[in-house]
Amino acid sequence: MTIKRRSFLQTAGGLTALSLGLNAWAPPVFKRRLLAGPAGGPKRLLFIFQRGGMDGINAVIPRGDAEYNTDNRPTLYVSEGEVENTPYGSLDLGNNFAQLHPRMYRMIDVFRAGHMAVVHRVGYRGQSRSHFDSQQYYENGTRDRNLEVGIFNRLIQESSTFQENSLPAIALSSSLPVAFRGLAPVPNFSNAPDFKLRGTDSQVAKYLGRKRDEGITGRGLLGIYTGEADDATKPYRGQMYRTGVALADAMKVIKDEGIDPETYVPHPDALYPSGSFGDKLKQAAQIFKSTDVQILGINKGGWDTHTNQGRAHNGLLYDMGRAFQAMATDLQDMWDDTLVISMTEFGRTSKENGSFGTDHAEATVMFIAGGNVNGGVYNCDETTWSDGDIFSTSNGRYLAHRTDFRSILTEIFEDHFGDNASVLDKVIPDRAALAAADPLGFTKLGLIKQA
Amino acid sequence: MVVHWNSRTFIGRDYGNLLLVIIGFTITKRSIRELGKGISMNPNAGKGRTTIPPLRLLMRSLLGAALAVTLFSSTATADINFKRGDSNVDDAVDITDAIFSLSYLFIGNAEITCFDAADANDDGQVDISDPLTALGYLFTGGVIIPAPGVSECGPDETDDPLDCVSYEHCPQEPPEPTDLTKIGHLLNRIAYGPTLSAVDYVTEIGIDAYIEEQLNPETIDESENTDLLTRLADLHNERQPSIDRTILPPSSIWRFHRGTTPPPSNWDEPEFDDSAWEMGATSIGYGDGDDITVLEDMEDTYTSVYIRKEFQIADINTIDRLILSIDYDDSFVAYLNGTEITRSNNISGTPPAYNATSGGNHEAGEAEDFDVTNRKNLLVNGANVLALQGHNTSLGSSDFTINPSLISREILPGEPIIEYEDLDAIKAMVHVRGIYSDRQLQVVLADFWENHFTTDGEKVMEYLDELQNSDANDAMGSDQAEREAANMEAREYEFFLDNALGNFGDLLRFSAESPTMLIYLDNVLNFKGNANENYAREILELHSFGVDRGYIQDDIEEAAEVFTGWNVCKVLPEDQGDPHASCGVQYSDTTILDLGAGWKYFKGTEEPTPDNSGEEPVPTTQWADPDFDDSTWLDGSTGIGYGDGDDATVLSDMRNNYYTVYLRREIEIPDPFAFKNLLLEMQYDDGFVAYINGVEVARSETMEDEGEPPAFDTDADDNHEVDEGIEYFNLNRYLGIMQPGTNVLAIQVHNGSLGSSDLSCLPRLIDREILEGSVENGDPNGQWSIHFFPDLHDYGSKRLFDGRPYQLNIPTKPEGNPQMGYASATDLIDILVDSPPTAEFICGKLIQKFVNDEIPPSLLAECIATWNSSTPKGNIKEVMRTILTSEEFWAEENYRAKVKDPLEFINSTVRALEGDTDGRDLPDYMEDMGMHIFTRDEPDGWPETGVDWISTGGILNRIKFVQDFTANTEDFSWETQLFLSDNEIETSEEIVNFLDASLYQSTLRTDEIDILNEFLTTDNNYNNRALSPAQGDYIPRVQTGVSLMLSLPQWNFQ
Repeated sequence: MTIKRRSFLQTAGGLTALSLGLNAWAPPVFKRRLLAGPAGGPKRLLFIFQRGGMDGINAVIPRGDAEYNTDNRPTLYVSEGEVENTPYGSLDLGNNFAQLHPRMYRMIDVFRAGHMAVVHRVGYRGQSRSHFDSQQYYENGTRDRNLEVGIFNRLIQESSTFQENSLPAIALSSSLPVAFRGLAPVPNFSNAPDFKLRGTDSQVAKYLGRKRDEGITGRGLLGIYTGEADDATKPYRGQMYRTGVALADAMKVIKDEGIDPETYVPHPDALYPSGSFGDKLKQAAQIFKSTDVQILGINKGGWDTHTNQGRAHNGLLYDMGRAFQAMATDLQDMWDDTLVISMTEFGRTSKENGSFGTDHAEATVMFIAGGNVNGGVYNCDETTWSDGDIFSTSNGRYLAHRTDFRSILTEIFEDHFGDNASVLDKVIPDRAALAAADPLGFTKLGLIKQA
Repeated sequence: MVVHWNSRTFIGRDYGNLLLVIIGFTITKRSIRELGKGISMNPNAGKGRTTIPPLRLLMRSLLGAALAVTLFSSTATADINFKRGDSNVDDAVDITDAIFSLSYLFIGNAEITCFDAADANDDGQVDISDPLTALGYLFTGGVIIPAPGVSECGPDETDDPLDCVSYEHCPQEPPEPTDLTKIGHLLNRIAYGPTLSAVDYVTEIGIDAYIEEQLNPETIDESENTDLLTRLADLHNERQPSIDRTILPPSSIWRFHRGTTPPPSNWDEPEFDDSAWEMGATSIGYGDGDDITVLEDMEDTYTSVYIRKEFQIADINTIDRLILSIDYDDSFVAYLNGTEITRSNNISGTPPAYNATSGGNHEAGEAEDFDVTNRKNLLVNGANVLALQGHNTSLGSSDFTINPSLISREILPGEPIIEYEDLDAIKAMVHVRGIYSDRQLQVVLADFWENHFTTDGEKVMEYLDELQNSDANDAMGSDQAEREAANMEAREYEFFLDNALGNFGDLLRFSAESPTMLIYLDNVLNFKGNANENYAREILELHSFGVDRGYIQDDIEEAAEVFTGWNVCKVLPEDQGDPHASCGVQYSDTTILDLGAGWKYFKGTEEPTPDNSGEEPVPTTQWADPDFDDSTWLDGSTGIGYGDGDDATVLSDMRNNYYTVYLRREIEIPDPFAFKNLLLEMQYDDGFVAYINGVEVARSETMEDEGEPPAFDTDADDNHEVDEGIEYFNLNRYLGIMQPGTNVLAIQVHNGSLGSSDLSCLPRLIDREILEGSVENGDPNGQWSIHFFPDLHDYGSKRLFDGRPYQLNIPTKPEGNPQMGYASATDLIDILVDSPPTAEFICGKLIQKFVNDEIPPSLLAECIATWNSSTPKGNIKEVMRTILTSEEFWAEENYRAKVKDPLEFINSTVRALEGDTDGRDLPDYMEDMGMHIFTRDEPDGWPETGVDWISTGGILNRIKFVQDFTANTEDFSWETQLFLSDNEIETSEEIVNFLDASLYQSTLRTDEIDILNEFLTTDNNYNNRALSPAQGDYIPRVQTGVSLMLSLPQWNFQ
């Protein structure tokens, strides 16, 4: 008996049902080519969560706003650039208004090829300025703190795009980001070669054992993890048991495909950042190239720049620029089917603080890159940004949002993954009500080219 | 064999045929089991708790007796709900029940688990009349099955000796937990899981008494707990507090002689004339980049260096203990007034020959103390000479260093200071307490508070690492920075431990005044007029009220002003914790060169002195040389630059035109070596490189490629503003390149971009003498403390929580009254402790920690009432008593309802197996599992809810830990053989059953037990291979099996 993912998850409405449904879970089949998307391969998404709150005004400079000046930003002010494609001075983004921070210069070619949407003033109504709350909000897509299911986890469960995929998503992170938490277990690791048990291959095989199935008794670890949960009515049972099974399944794929940032040979022109961020990006590219995994997530920390932001951003933005350049270059054969996006929980105060840094504020910038993206600058030009808008919140202190982050995700789910309204309603709860309350925030920008 | 029996097949057949059918099989025990499996293909089967055969119950009782005699009394079964007649427990009364009962009666192989159900006629016994009654009911009609009947669920209302162990198809009242499960629950929550001895102990004194003991940890005597005490002692050093007075400072100017030839034999005598020797600042050496006077020619040429220095002592009676503190590589011999006083233990010869080499490597990095108090008698009033010979380990060695100092050390009376070496040591300390302390609740709560008031020791370390002493040298190396950060964290942790069951207000106040918190949440950068909101936000959001409860953004901004001026300072130990104690360093500065006239400058529209020998002109430093002819340069004064209005010489054409301006000035210096500390004092925008006599002596962080002169069109790679503060550069290391007489200071100043709105350079030279009584940032005997800087505090009026019952109005305070300014913040803290949002938030967090992720509102209300009933509010012991004696805590639904975090997982694993660890390697495993205490970046602490700890990566790393732990790898050990013999277990079944009882309170099911036994009794291919102590691989196989038992999903719950 083979139960498809879809029906499994439908029966698995509550924890009790989930833990009971396990015996029937068929062993997954890996490396199966998915139904081709409109452009050929499966649709991919890499998201980079910039934890701590990126100062969008420093990353994408609203040069046309006279309030962007040395009075408001004595040390953070970036002067205009004059040398193309070098880290000297801000970089023109072609609309006589927005300019890119000089240290992101490595990705300017992606932008100029029309493969990157730079969306300024992203946020949401009633912005929380708490890291924890706002990260939860971004990753859950809703303010409901009791809903312990991340937005990408819901997408995997609901969207038909992922129904035939036994390993739809991986988080390249030592702890599982909220965006991936939920009923569909998503594997996570920061370094693929460590993603295995101790012992020789045969010792590991015995330890893992085999799943229970019709007519087959379980053995070893998998025998227990595919069994009925002890205390099945108590919290987290289903999630714990399914996660254990997902672990075993994912370890097999990672081992079979030899995912390893040390030995991976990327495209020679890809300028990966150094360090663990670069290693994670390399693994992301390798996984996209060799498996059918469709959604990958990476954390990039260090954005909580209360002090000496100028120096910190020099490194952080440099890495981000290289990240986009590397992915666009290394994944060029699947670039039309790929999106690389960044998000962060909030922007920062438009006025520099006394410690040469900035404090928590509201709207900020998202970058969306891919071969099928309608490239350009959004929400940072003369028609969308009035003079003084860096202080456009009602208290006159911060940059106010124009576009709700969920509107951008909606475009991605609709126009990249091809999801319909009924799926979107489940993935982004209260979508209609949110849009009614914030019509501008949910106005479609047209970020993805329509098929 | 699986027998597929369909009950419909038999309908209509007569009774006699049926019997024949049964007897016609050669029925064995095995086939009856298979029969059971065939029957249980019923789609409704398999839900709920699987029945436990009596044999296993018996086995458990026997094994349990070894564990704790009273724990395994038989379970009360009188009130099990069932359906009468359903002897095979398949939720239907049909022909298979009659067959099942007959098999039980006449073949003896069927196992009845619910005798009440099998007793179809309710006559108090199971006999032939029961299948007959069932058959009569099914086929003849008119037979009534007594209550509860065949379709209703209910208990047996007849008083009979029959038992019903379980009946899965009827809803059951939750079974009354046994003592063992209760004890297991208690120890899972108020301790880091059960140990065999803890279970025994609670059994002995009773649950209520144990709770009371744990609520009053001071009543638990730990003085005999050597498991704990010896491990704690191994994790720290003890040092008697002391005050050091420097007699001869490190990094000072010495005479030295390169050991290419032997020195005169009296070189170490006071009267030796060393005026022909070279002069240079210590440290002297090469390699490693740690030397100020670099001996470029030493490698491969000579192995020794002789150094000597005269110093004055006014009164030798003021010298306490005499300490030679020396950083060296690789060996040395030290002489005081011509007599050897001490040497490193790796050099021989008296004295060692000039070409001798050390007997072993010794790396520099941190000064080591040699106590030479017994040679104090060599000192005289007036001039003394310290002389040392340093030796390298070989001619070709890659480095050499010598940097001595002399200290008078006064040892203070009192308790020795406990010092941890690094952050890993305090992480290990937390594990050791969690695993071995008998005051378990206190430790669990200390860890809870540590997490609630989390600070990042690495951020503290980085802060310390960047500090300078007043002589502009680095205050400390990274090892000392980590050690100090670790001990600051340890001090904080100890307070949380000591007050774990105390008053919440004490904890909040301590945290606010804790140097680690002040540094971690940037309050050290919170100044009047330039508030930094970081701490103000988190004390409301994370430490007291909770996010979005009872405050708004305006309150955060007001609170930030309340905390302006709260800062840190290193003080004498007796002043620690006093925000108004004297702080800082006293020194006297002599200005050598002030801002003003006398400068020559050159606008950098081109290279001033290019080397044109190649294809491209290359920048040189010839323009900085003393003999460079600057007569064509312009005359100017400092500051020089444009924009900002801070310039005496304004370069009005610089913007959008050129990046760099070059400056030169002649300075008269009668005797370079007379300087105490020659400092270059700089304010600049955006970058510079400074030279003396053509040698680079200082460079801003914003200019790359140290040692290479930047080209005229180079931009600084970052903005830097004049008002970022004054930077000091110690130039003592360059005294050797200065001449008595005229010297040249030269500076090239670079802008961050051509279009920049300003550029500045404000250089000064000063000579600084550090005065006695100072506590430098790097002083190892000082202690970091809260310090209130009155000048940085905003004394204006503030209003918080406008319109709420706990509104706080702070009036304008008089400037110049630091006590009153400081009290604004302590008043705020008092309000926070007393206000309702704090009671709700902290009570909720405690309930979430100890009861369930979902906070029961009834219990929350009770806890808040307890919180408010004490004076002051927030007595944690009373709140904990309310929780631990509540119905909610003891409700069966909350047993094993929480997911262990990595700390709980690791500690409970070691405890369960009574393992041995010094704790040192555990932090790495914690980190792999996604938790690193004391070094979390984010201020919100590690999450408490289970959803945050369930991930594939988490499960994998937990399994890897138990694999390593049970296999005795790394530094912890589990003495498997001892564990087995102590508990008198040997066979697979004994091991599995014992651990089922001790780890899981005997809750594993038979199917799980079967899997575990199969695992232990097979080879890697699952072929049968008995487990016996006679086998050479018995212990490793047992270890792998135990590892598997700790890898189960169940072990993640508590």
